[in-house]
Amino acid sequence: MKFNNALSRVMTNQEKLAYKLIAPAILVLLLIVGYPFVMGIYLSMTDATIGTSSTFNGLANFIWLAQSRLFQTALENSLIFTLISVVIKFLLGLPLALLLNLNLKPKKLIRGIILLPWVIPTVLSATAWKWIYDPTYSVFNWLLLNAGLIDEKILWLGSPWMAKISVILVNIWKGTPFFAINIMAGLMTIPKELYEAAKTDGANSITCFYKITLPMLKPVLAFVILFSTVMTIGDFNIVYVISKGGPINSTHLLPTLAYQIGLITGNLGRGAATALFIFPVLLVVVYLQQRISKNKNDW
Amino acid sequence: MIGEYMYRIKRRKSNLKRAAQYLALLPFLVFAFFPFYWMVITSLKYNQELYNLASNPFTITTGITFEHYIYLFKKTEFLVWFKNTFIVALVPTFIALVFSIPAGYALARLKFRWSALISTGIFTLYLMPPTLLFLPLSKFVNNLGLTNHLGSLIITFPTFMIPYCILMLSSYFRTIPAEIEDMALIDGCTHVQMLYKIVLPISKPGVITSSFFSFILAWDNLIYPVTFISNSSRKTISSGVLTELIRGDVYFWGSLMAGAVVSSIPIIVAFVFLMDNYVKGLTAGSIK
Amino acid sequence: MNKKFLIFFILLICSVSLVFAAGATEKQAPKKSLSILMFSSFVAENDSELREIAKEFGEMKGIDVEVEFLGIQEMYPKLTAEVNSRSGHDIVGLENLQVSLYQNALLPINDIIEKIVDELGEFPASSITAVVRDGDWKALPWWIVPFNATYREDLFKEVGHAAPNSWDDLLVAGRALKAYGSPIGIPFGSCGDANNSLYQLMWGFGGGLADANGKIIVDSKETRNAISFAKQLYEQAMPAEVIGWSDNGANNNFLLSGVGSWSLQPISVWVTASKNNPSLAEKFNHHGALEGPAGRFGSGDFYSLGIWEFSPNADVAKEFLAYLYEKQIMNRYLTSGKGFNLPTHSYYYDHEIFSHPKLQGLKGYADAFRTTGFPAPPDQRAQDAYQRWVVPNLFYKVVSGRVPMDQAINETVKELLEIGYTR
Repeated sequence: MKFNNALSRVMTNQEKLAYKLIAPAILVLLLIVGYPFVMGIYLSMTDATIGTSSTFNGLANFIWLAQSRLFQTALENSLIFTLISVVIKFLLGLPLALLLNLNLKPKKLIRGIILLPWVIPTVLSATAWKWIYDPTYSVFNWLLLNAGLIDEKILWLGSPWMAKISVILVNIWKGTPFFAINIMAGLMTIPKELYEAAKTDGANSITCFYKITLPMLKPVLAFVILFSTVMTIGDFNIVYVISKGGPINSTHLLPTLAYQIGLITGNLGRGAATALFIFPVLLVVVYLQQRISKNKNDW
Repeated sequence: MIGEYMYRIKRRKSNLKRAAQYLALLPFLVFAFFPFYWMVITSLKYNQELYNLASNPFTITTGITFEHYIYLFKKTEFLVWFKNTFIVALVPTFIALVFSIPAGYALARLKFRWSALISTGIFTLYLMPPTLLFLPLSKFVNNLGLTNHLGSLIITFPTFMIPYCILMLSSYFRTIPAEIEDMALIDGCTHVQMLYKIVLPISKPGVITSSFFSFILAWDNLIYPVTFISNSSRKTISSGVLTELIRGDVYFWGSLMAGAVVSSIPIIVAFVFLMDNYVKGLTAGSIK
Repeated sequence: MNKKFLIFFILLICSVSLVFAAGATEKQAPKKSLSILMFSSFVAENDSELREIAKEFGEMKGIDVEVEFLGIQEMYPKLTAEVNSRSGHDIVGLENLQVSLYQNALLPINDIIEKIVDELGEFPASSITAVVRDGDWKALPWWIVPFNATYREDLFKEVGHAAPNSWDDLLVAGRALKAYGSPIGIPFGSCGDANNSLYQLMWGFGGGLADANGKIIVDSKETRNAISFAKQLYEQAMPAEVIGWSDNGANNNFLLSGVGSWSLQPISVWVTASKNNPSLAEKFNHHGALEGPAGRFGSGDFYSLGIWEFSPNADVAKEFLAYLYEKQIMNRYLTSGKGFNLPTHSYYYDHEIFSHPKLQGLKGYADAFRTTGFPAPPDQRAQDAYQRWVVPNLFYKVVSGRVPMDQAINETVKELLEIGYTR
């Protein structure tokens, strides 16, 4: 078929090209993870336990979970944990990125230090934080006691609220570099000429930030926040190493609860349902976010 | 005279500004660094001093010892684990990049129906928690005969790296002003040429950063290595450390922290130098 | 552009096939083999001894024997994955109620047990409860890590007390020790040590979660007595911070720092102190299960070895299990454990390692030992209750004063109903 209209030829060619560029990635993903992905979803709708045959039971697991006190606690914890963590990581990461972009000397050392929390394998850094929070040897307590700021030891993991704060703190420590470095890379992509042009037009740094930096950063910010949210909601290692969900389930998150239900008590179907519970919500969030950013960029 | 005076005031103002910037940066540096500093000190401390309630956690008073590092290198297969982790993080990163760069560009710049749907679909695969996905994946890996081989990780790691890279890269690609690309199109450039000649070079910081963070996702991963690999010589750092250095309630603190130090410094040095060398003077002249 | 894509795709297919081929060829090993997945022991020498034993067995039989290790916690996902894909190792190390979790995938080894019983005599009741399911022996009982007490002999002497024999003795001595500045402590947080400590305390007073028929008994008078006693113990003999102990290492550090005078803790504290602080280590000693109004009960972790029923090398695996129980092999293994492994079979109770002055207190602990979930059956529900920290949560709520006793017990009943126990 021939398209006489030049514009529609460009469109179709673009579409063809787009599919050519994306197809390999999708193919590979479907090949490796397509079947396991479907199996995972199927598992959440069965009554599977380890080593026995399972029967399909639709949404029964999800309904059971919604009524379980333990699950409700974990869901609540997950939402609070993610909200507070991501917001604070963003509030710390953005200014940090701006500071990093100033290229203060020693540049490499500064960037290296900021990256440390992210690069140390979580198993090892979470273990270190265990000692930092230890009831007998806590490093924090040592500092605060010796500085005269407290009279009695603080039990970092000893009460539900303290434990929540402590775990969130580790997540923030670990995750802020993700924000900072990614935003910094985004800042580096913004052409300097834009700032030069604005300066000759008489703009000061604050105007530059609001009129140039923030708008140009929006795609990067959008994705960094989205990814961080997904990663934080799925964060497993920190609680697994430090608190195993205690005290009295105050630090249980959906992934750690899913692990406990599925693998440790053998209820594979229900464990899968726990892991996938907020999956539909996240899906909708992601889709909306994609639509919004697409629209913004159709100049 | 007055000119020189004005110049000195300006200098002082900018010096003050500089000092304020360093001051603002300081709390971040302290926050990021102090656990690591504690790790380094602990890795060089004698155990007696570590368990001594009266001792300062930030200094060493009874002498520096390398016994923990020696134990780590001689009595465990840490160096092998390091090599393994490095391989299973680096190779999939390259694989992921090969697939993600074109796909990311398509999603960022090309107009086509269902682009939002496709990017959501790709992201969906990332949303599936590994603590669930590992079970059917392990069956798949087993059917391929890859259990207990690094290959199991090399083919499974891209499953989360590719979605991550595609979406991360597409956001960096979107940051490039469209005028640059429009002008190239007018000049007769095809999209693909533009990707390789213009977009990639400009978004180098984004590409390096995305690959680095992908690398770390693999570097850090625990559940896949634990499930697929039980042979000590093929383990990754996280898996090996949990097996050998934490036995019940006995923690080999010195060696654990030595492991933390050794597994982070080389990676950071590599990234920081990479960023520095490849990103020099990059935005200058991009529009021209 | 198209040519580039084509080349790229061909390269991709080639490399992918190489990856698969590399894996596939190694799978077809001609020689008969035996692969063992074991959790890494508390004592590294245990692991190397097992490797030696396996190697010798292999040489003797002319087969390849491979022993691989994983951390105890990491065994869960690995074992589940092996059962799920019906392939993996031949012999696997099991902790506590993992026997129940995987019971449908474990090969019955009644024949091997019969041989051992013929040689050495019957296994004690604790072993039977631990590994027999539906009349079949699903795993080989191997060793127990007892949850005995570790205490400072010198400090007890200071305040004029001998090692406690009963929970009441402990309370009396504890008061004196706390006044002296060297309190006692046990964890109430979400950790295995809290489970082990509080279960045995509960049993000592006749309490429990559910009975042998799965009927809930947590609201009984006996359980309430146990909780009240724990509260007394906490308030009168422990430092306030104990309520903040959230992991298995907390009580270790309590003792290792020199501050604590008593805790329920296997010999790992003494072993660690021997390496880092020999003068402190000298002051530690151990004693066995304490007596309560309802009897003398101990807890701990029970370790066994199972064979996957889908293992292609089941016959060789059975031979290896029998080999492990041969006298010289078991004696060697126990020696390498330095006292960590309490034998499950009474034949080995008097192993020379327990004549060590510091380990005398452990002798015969296996008789007081009860499996997880006692008196309820050791099934998946008991595992669920154990892993959900039902008992530690219950005690934590009341002892810390956060929740009144009745409410805490009601909440626990609800949770037990959710788990599958009945009224």
